[in-house]
Amino acid sequence: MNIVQLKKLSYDEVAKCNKCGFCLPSCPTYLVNKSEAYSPRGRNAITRFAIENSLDLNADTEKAIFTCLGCGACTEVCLSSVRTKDLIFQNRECQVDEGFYPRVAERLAKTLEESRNISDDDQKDRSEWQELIKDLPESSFEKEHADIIFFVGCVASFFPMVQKIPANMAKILQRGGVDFTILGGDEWCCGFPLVGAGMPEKLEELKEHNLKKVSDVGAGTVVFTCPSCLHTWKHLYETDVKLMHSSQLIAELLKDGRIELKKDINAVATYHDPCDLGRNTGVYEEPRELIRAVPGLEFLELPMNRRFSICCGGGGNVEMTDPELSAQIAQMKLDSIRDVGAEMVITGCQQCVRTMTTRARRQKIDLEVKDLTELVVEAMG
Amino acid sequence: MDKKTKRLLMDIVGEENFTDKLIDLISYSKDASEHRQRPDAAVWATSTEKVSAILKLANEERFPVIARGAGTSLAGLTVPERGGVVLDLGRMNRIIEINIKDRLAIVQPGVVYATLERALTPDGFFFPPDPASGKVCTLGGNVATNAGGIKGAKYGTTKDYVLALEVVVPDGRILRTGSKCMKTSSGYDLTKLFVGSEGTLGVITEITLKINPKPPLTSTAMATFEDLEDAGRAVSEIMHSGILPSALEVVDQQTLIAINQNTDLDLPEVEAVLVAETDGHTREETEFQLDKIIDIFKQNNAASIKQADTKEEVEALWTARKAAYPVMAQINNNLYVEDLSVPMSKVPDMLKVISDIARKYNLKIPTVGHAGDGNLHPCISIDGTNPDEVERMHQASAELFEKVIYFGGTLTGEHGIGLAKASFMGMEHGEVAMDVMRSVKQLFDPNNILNPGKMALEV
Repeated sequence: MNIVQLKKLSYDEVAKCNKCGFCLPSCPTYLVNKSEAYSPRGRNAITRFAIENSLDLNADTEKAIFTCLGCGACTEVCLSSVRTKDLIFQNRECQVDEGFYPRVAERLAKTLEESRNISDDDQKDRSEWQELIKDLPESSFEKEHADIIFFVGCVASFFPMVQKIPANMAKILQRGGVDFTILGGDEWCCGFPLVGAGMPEKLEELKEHNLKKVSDVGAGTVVFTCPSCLHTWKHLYETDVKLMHSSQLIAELLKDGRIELKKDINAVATYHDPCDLGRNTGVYEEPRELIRAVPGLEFLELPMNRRFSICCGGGGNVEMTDPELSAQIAQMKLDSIRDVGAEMVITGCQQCVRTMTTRARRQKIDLEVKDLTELVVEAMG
Repeated sequence: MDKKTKRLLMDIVGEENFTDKLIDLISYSKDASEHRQRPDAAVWATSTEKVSAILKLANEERFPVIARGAGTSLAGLTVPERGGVVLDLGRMNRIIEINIKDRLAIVQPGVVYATLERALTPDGFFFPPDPASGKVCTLGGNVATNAGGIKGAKYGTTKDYVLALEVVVPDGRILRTGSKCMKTSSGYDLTKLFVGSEGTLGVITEITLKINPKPPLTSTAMATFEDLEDAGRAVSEIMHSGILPSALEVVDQQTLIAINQNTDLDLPEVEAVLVAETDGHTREETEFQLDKIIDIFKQNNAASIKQADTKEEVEALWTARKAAYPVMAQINNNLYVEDLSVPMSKVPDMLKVISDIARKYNLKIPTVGHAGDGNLHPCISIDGTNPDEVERMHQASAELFEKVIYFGGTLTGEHGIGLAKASFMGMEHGEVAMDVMRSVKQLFDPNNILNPGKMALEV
């Protein structure tokens, strides 16, 4: 996208920014840096000045524009509801065309084109996590036809720290007697990282492939443990198939009595709303219903919750482009969890689990980080 | 600004606290007003000594220094009109001491209002001014603007709470004003001189604030009025009835219409809505006060009166007031919030004038305000990309200012003068007053390095 196209697409929206600064305390990168250029207002100023031709895109604008987490918290507190995240992602497309973008974004695009997953692994290994399951059906979880497809996502498929998430999800689906399948090596990355990388046009091929697989399987529903895959499907895939987050399906199973949570878990826990699940997809209540259904668990809300939840630091590819910034934001999250007095944080996203766990380990902070699926499996007993 | 000067600045603050990158300079070229001007560089100060060294250098090299907190100014107070260096105090954000025994808090200027509020809550205390931008704005900015808010009628504004200051003056000397005591009659009140000085006399590096015990209970009522004059009379009667509401807010008809057009709140489109809140330590106390207010509403022909009991009901009553800014901000792409203050009895006259001016210039000017202290916020909503509308906005503002002065009012209740109202200073202040203000500026800042171009201080 060039500047003229960006102007056409973004000018009306960015002109809505009143520059009031009410977004500042909602922006994790501003809270860490205390630097305007790393705030929503500052980034909107960059876009506005760029399309008004009074600022050339360069390595500095790259840094400011590519460190946005895409968490969307700024829009929630904005009096004019400026869609800053969308503006940033459009600006990224322009940065890419002008050659000012992080090299990791290029590597990422190449990897997805060649390997179809973000970790550049062999697609054969997509189902490696099944080895964590003792009573795996002989045919594994891959079936030709099923009612529901469990879309595992790249991170949970290939990153050992979070492979327990699909394993636990599969256990829950098994226990609930759900007719489901996984796509195994035929599951391709949903394309979400490409949107954040400013290369959304490259998503098309992945999307077409994944949608074809859904129709091959004849599934009416796709369920995701990854909120970013869910968000991408919901907003960019244009499909009539029912799309659900794991927490929504599990809450249904619980309501219908198909699973039971009977084992006590004696802990003080809080819940972290993942940006792409809460704010960006609108799922707030089902995760809380599940947490409240666990016997023995004491549940405390974080002061900034639901729409106002603060990102864990794992959003917008920032973990790749600026790991130190991402880590500082994760620390801020861990501080807020400590302040509320929780010894366990539950969330519904493998990326949030990774970001928070990594930071807690590195800083030797005694905090249990669990995905909802892990909590449910433990409570099912 | 030459390389050598930039190098000297870097030597003072450290490279990580200096920037002359364009992306930072464009951020610092603006605040929440329409004004724009790029500085030559920006620095983050981390200590009083560094602020002192920066000012000393600026005074020698004669470059402007513009102190900045969160940059939420609605009047261009922090726009570097003559370039120079923006001095960002956001990283001096430590609460130095909260001393409940002596009823005071000592803070650095970059502490955000809401951060202090959170820190005071466990002790049942608060710093009352409560500006609408409280979650964002810094206390240094509050002091430099003499910020106010919704609680003005009962609790006053920032100036009523600043006990002492540490200020760096342009030659680099560090000045301590005031006292930690609740009262002092000792010498000139230098503290008050800096409150509302908009960074033109010195850079505030430490603030000692008086804090108040927070009454734990509130009662709330809302009344609608078919006739603006009835609402105005009710306000005036409440404010001399002996009851001091902790908030008394007005929402005008244009605002109600705007809210209804943009939400499904379905509010009555009457000429005015008043929302009153009383506070105290017992339910009896808050309700006794509220009953008096409701009596006055009734005597002045309120069309309807609603009283809130539960938290949800209270929130519902505040909806019209709280929805106002978000809705107004969405009518068009730019919103200019004016900040007129008139003697309380003139509130209805002023509201009438505002709606006449809106018609005359074919503009939308919904108005809300702190009726209890006569402070009104006409909000001019325009398409900022349309030069014709921008011009009409300026003409309408100028006429509003004329009328405000005619009613014995003031150009600004709580936002400050900055650039937006600098050219109107002479309208409000007589020649002698302007002369004295300029002499004060000359005394502190003979080389005019601090926030030049603001408040019409140049001869």
